[in-house]
Amino acid sequence: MSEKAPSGPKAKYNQETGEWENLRPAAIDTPPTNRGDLANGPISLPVDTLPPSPSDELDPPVAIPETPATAEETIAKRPNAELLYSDAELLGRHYPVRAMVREMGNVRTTAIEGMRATWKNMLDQPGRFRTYLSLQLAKKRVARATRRYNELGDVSDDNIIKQHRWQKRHDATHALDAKQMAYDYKEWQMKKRSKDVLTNQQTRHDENIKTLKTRRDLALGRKALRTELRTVGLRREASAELKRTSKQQLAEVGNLASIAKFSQKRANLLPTDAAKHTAAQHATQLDKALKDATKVK
Amino acid sequence: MPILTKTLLNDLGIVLSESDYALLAEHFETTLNERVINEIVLELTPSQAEALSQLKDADDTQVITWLRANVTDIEEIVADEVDILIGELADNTELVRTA
Repeated sequence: MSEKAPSGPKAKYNQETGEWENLRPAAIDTPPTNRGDLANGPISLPVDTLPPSPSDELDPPVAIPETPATAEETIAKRPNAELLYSDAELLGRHYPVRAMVREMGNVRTTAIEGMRATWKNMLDQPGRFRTYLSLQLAKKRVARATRRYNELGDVSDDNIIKQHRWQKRHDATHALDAKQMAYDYKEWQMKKRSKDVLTNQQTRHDENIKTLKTRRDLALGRKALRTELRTVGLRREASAELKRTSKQQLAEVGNLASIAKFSQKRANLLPTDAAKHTAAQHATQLDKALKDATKVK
Repeated sequence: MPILTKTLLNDLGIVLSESDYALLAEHFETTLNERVINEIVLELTPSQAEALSQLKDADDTQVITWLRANVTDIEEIVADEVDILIGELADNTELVRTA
């Protein structure tokens, strides 16, 4: 491929906000957008390459490309260009598209967390062993105190020696309880460490899936809106319209588009004609709702 | 950089052998290309389509520059299609895993 964008590390993912940073090629001047971090507005084209006005809509003059690689040159001048762009091959050619896929590294993070947990558990092993020995000693002490107390089984409870042994057994039992609690806590702490690694992995996995689904819904919303605007002949205004549309609205439209698509697919897979008809009706209704949602005012 | 990386698949809970990964990545790229081309074609006017067909012998740079100049929001279109496809993959993780 003759054209290559600066390649390098991917876009940065902010763990705190759970959002992508620097997804949009910052080198390209873009108008304000309401698409937030997921946004990636259009490249500012040279004035003479802008789409023609609506009056020329039927047969707009084909724009003559200006000097190529203007965007690439601008991108290359950015100090952290390598962090902002990735070089993806699409349509058999290289496009400097935004870094779409985060190297989430959940597996790698899990491995690191796992090693950390194992190391901490290893460090805790002597303490656990010490607590275990102490527990065993306390158990033996209780057994001995009980045996000595039971030796005076026939003696009256008012006997001072029996009271003294009872007190000893009582203290030993309390000490045993405390040791048992300490040992149980240590065990729980170590097991929790290992369990947390798996829980964190699952949480990250669920978050990743959720993020990707949200992005899909937003993209479907934009696509549906573009299609609708194209249908009514307002494609030129689509760009501006998309930026005016809120994220939530886009997600709703995307969700509807997704359900409509799924219903249509399901209708095609159903065995009986009646079921197909019902599912197709459902898909049509959804399609209508989708059209209403994307209706251009 | 491939769009469908092994890391992404692993993070989705999909663990594939090298050959399966290669097949899935190829299918992914093909589907993506088809969808992007469809969207681009829908964006073009007849005269633009004709102009594009005349560029069949042009080099990559010329074609890309032409597309950028003539297709409104081409990068958004590509990005949206990637988002949609990856979202679909995330939605069907179980299917891919059990396939």
